[in-house]
Amino acid sequence: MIGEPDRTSEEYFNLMSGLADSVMNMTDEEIQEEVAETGDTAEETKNLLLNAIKFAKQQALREAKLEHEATVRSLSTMRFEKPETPTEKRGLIQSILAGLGATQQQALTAQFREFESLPDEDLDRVLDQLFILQKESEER
Amino acid sequence: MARNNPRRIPEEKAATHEELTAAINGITENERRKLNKAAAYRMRGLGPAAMNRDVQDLFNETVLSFFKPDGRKWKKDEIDIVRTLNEAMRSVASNWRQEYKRKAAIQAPLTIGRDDDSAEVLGNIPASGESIQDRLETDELHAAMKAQLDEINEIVETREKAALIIMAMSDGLDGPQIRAELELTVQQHETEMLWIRRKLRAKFKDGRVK
Repeated sequence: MIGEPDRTSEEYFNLMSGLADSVMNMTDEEIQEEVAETGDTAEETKNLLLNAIKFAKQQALREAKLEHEATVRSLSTMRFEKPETPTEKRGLIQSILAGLGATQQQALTAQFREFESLPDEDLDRVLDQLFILQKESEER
Repeated sequence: MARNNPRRIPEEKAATHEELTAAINGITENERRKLNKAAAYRMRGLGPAAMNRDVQDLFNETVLSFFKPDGRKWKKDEIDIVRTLNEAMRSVASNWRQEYKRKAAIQAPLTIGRDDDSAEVLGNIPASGESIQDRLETDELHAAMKAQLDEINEIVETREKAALIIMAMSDGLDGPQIRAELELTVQQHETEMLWIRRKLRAKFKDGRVK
């Protein structure tokens, strides 16, 4: 059973909500009448809206940043299986590079494109970076 | 799952964030005054369910709802920005109220197995997580709401249609439902609403955000 305070707050909320909706139908004449009686709110509302846009943009940016950081964290904890020998590693790098789209290939640094001249000890790092690149493009 | 919602607005019909921002920045003075008044009514309607939020929070949450991924969309070619923001404000206020009710339900003391007398006595003990001060403030706000409802009913009691409209609004009926229920034309309804708003303004000086 709904209690007295709950019923009161429900009725009050509904009524105020209905009045808020009815405001949308106010004529310019009625608005001017109201401004004359109770004061103007145009400027303060302008600031409220400007602040709200700023807040929403900052919040959206913050959420996107958090999401990006979470992706980076999860990628950095991943362990990729790599072949044993430098020759096999170079073969894998070549096949990954060949499988990348033209745009991604363009974005790669010369370091990746000239992987054949890289010393063997750098091959694992290059493979890790390519795996991450591949994973990110799959998730997009 | 918003993605499968058949009522979902197609991307090409929805405004971009830039278009939305430009439209909000371009709202006229009179439209801004309307939004302010609508926001003031919504915050007032929340009472304790506002939970210390103010009208800036309502505007912030309203605009943010359009900036969230998979958030609200503005059908820029069909509905004007002011009505769109008003709809979003209604939804935000309603969500806040639901959130408050959920919290209150969790905090409510158990009354199962108590007889009527003890339930009445225990009813005055604040629920867990709620201080005595909070409870007193909530009670005070409920009393103020009740008093204001009584005053509004007193204002409209001399005008039958207006009284019926207030009753229907308190029951949660929207404009079209009220017109159907009371067999009113749009014009008749608007005439009564104009009278109601004027009377309430004179009584409560409620044109401004408090």
